[in-house]
Amino acid sequence: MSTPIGTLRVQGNDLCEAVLVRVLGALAALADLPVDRLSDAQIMAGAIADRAPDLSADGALEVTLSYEPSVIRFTLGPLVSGGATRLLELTSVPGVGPVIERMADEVRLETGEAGDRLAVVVGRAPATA
Amino acid sequence: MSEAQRAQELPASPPAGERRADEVAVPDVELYLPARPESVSIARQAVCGVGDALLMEEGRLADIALAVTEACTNVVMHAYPEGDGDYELRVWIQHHRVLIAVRDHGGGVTPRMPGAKTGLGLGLPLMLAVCDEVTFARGTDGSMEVRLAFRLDDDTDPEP
Repeated sequence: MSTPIGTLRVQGNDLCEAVLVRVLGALAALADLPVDRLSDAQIMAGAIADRAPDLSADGALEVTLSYEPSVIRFTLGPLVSGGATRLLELTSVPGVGPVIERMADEVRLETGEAGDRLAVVVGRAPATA
Repeated sequence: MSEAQRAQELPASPPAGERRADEVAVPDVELYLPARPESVSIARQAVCGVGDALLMEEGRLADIALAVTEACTNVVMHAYPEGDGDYELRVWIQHHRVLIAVRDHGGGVTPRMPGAKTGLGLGLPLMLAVCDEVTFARGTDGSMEVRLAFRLDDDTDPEP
């Protein structure tokens, strides 16, 4: 069961990457995420911060955060209509592909009246006996 | 400039739900957090991210992180003695200053004597020591807010 731990809003592209990288790092620490997955989350944060504010409904990056042991979840949005798909496209790197989809364990696009949302999961819950 | 004049410069932090009403007061960073101990690290790292983006000097960044940690810890420990609650952290970057507000909708923070249940009582003195300005305000909606101000240009007010 994932534990919600808050919602972050950042205005302006200049702050987005630095703040999101730090916050996802703290979230990963709470989840006791392995270092390699922390690195994945921070690379994704950089890619997201570069593009997401331009695709958000009001120009601000909004991220809802939650975690559970070995797993972090963050949901971006509301984004403009089609923004979640566009964000995945824009974060694609030649030869690598879509960074977010390659690095995340789960990516889900959600469409609602308020706009699109992109839900990202990093990590896997430990198997129970 | 007097402390009172500086205090008047602090932008009003609009009540929750009305934060888009006054665009001038829209913070650069907002965090909405549950008043649980693990939230403090999220708040601390968010303000450290602001410091990173501003290329803030390491010692100054440590001061800000310490003050925010204390303000948030006070909310977690004291604002909601009856149960769960939420709080908000907002950051404004102004000319030569960073302004940070930590607001709860519970009992807020009241200076008190140290004791087994209240902690060592060092939070407020630490905030006063590292911030350029600390103010407490109660909102019209009953919320309690601690406002922390930090000058960015340390050279303007050198130590004697």
